[in-house]
Amino acid sequence: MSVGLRVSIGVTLGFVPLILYWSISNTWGMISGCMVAIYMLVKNIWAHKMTPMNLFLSFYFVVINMLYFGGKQKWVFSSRHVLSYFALGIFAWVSVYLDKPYTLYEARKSYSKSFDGSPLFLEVNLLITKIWGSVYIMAALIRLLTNNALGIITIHLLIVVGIVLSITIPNYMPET
Amino acid sequence: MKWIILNGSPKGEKSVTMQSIKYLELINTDHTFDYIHVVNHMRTYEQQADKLNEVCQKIKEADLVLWAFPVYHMLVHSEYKRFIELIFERHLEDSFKGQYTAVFSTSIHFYDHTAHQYINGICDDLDMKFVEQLSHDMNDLMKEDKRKQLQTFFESIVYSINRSLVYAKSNKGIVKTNHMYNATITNPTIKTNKTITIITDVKDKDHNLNQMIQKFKSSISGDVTIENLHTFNGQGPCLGCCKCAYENKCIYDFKDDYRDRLDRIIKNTDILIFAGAIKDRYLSARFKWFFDRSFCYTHIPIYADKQMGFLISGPLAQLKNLKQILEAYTQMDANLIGFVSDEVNTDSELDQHIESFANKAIYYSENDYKKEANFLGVGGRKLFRDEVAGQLGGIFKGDYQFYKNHGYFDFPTQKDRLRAKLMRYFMGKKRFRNEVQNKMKDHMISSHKKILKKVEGGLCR
Repeated sequence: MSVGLRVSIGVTLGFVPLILYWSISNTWGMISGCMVAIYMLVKNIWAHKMTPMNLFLSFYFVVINMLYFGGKQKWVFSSRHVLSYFALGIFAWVSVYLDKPYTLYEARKSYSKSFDGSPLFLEVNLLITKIWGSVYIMAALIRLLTNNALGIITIHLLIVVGIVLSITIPNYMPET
Repeated sequence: MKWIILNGSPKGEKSVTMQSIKYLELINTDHTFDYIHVVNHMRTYEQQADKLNEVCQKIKEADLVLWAFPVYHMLVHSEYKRFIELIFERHLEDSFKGQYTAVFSTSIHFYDHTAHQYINGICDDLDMKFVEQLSHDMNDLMKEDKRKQLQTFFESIVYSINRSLVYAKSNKGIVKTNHMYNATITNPTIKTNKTITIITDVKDKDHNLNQMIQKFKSSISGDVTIENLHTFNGQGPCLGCCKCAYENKCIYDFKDDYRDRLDRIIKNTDILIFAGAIKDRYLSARFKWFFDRSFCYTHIPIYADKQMGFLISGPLAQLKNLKQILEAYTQMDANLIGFVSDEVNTDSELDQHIESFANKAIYYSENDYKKEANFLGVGGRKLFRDEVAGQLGGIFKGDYQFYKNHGYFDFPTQKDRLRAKLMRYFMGKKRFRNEVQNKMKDHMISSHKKILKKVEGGLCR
């Protein structure tokens, strides 16, 4: 299995809270997503493997659960796709802006320690995070503007492109 | 100023090259242009000495002699070559001596430099005052900047003549080899099942070449066929008509035996030896005829799985240009065994060279050895590839089909381009660039190291 593919699988597993949130069409999606996110955060803190994505997802789910159940903000659930895509997009771009691309932390788990601190590794992850940031923002806009099958298909295609690029780009990284 | 144009195209006035000269004539009306369609009139020059003398008289009276020709098989057309041979054979060098001269050619730039170098050498041998040379693509006349270039070429020649400028010669005179070789014929030492063909233009008077062929033949116990070019009943030279372009059928097919014999050589030969004597700065015009006529296969590599070598009588070591032509010719198709020439001091030395050459030929053939081409072959193939994929492929359908079917269109793939694009993006990032540049040596050998590791671990050979 290529390292790029391994990283992608790792990242996908990290998305389990969001997958629950998107796929369960009632409020249990929000609740289960929140529980899994907090579980993963605690587990990774314990294992000294905490990533910015763990922090972000825990923060996001706590906030939306508080808004929905405490603040009675129903739109938090009805607009969950647009909201989560925007939040992910902003998170990705903020991590790029801070020069700490979030994919870097996920990728570290699959690469040898020698890559840590490598500018090559950092630049590759900056590009991948930029790609994902763009995918999320585009997906949010599509969800905001349309709600038809074509829009959904386009979002899925964008995600597939993101996955393919995330797998292939690291393979082009110069080796030593 | 009076210009003599020695047209080297078999198409005469309809030559692509001549259209560029006509252009010069049209815009330089204060100069006179006298065209001599050398290739078309070669038979006459061969048979009627006075006709060639008339040409020489014109050359003597001209202010400039312009060798203008299309490139044929890395040189000039075989009949143009014969014209040059005739000048030396009939001792007409005096007509050329001291005359200003220049060279203009059109081609697809495939070994145009060797053709120019050859004519340049001939001009030096004729003691002419060589001024300029220009090699244009066949379609350059349609481009404004190239027309301007052509006019500047013309003006620079006029400038040099008006100021009586004389430039240094590029070539030294050739010192001919004098050693009379008498081969030691022994029983064959090399046994093989491989089929060998020697293509030669040898005549009885070519003592050394005859001896070299006999020595080579006697070294091998096996099937050695001699194809003497003088026994071909060739009807004529390549006409440049390009009728072969569509499906590789030549206008001479079934009219003479060239095609049949060439096909037989291609089909039945594992090892192909060209044995020829140097005439001026190339092999004979007869050899050139053989090469030109093989254009019935246009740009298709016909000797692809063969071993090729050269037995040369004459000063090959002094003719780097000829050696390059022969090497490039081999690299376009086949695998080069090597060269043997009679530039030696003793018979035993040449005996040894020929025996070694024969041994190597058999070894290469039996081991299916095909060396990777160097720039001569790689560059040539890329040029053909681009031309056949482009404009030329429209007319040369035979080439196009062959190149397509045999994976010759090996352009960088979409994947290669994407990879390069991605790398350019990353290299635009300073810290990425610095890291790569600092560890460039390691990056360059990372894939090689992987192979070595596999070999070390017995995973591959």
